[in-house]
Amino acid sequence: MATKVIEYKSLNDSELVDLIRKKDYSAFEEIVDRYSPKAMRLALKITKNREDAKDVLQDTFVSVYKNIDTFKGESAFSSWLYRICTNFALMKLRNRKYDNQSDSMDENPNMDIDALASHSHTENDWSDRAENILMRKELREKIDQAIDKLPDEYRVVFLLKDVEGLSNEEIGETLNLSIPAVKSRLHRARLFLRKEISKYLNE
Amino acid sequence: MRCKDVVELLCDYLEGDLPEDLKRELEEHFNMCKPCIKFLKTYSATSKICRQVVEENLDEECAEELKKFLRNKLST
Repeated sequence: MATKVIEYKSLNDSELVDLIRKKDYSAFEEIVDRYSPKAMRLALKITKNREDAKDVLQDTFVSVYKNIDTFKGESAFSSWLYRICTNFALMKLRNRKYDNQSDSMDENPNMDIDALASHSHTENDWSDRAENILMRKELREKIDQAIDKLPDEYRVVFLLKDVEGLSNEEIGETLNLSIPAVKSRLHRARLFLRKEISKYLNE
Repeated sequence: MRCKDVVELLCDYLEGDLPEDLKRELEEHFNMCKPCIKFLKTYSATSKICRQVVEENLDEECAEELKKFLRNKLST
């Protein structure tokens, strides 16, 4: 039994996918072990709700298992999985908005490019203090909260690109957006987060 | 090129998507404008810092509960 576990762990994603296609359930469980924490993190960051994120995770992996034959291997398996996860998470968000119209309409931040792009001679350059910034728990919490403050459509693009490493093309396909629209949302999200971090460091 | 134009181009600049002439113009601006250099550096650092903040919030426990659910649902 122990050797079997080690064997699956040593396989790469595409070897596991081949086995899942042959209905090897242990290969699927290795994929669940490998990707569920990251998929959970993504679902939680998009939905901002643990129960919703758990549902998203279940739907995602059921879909991965049932639809493995539709994965053509044109992108990384992880990108395919994150795209499925994102779509289920967005569905949750949409359903929640129907259920509760006031939800997430409060505190919508200003994403106006002029407001986000302003910079002055007096602003600190904190770029070489990243390690130091990350050592400060209260600052990490504030950055995490700043990401949550992003409007949904900006937060999703930012997470897929800067955290999960999907290409602009993959994000465009997932969200049904043009490449310029993906870049525009990513840019504004980064500008907003940059401004927030600057604000905390200048306090 | 104005500082505002520089900010507009940062995303494309960092992805290597700018045409050569525009890239050169941007880099000439950076050579003369310290606030824009600071902006470029902090913009670039933002992605790295935020990625690390999000990445550390991994829920390693979720796999076991999920596997139980999936076994009931999928395993025959």
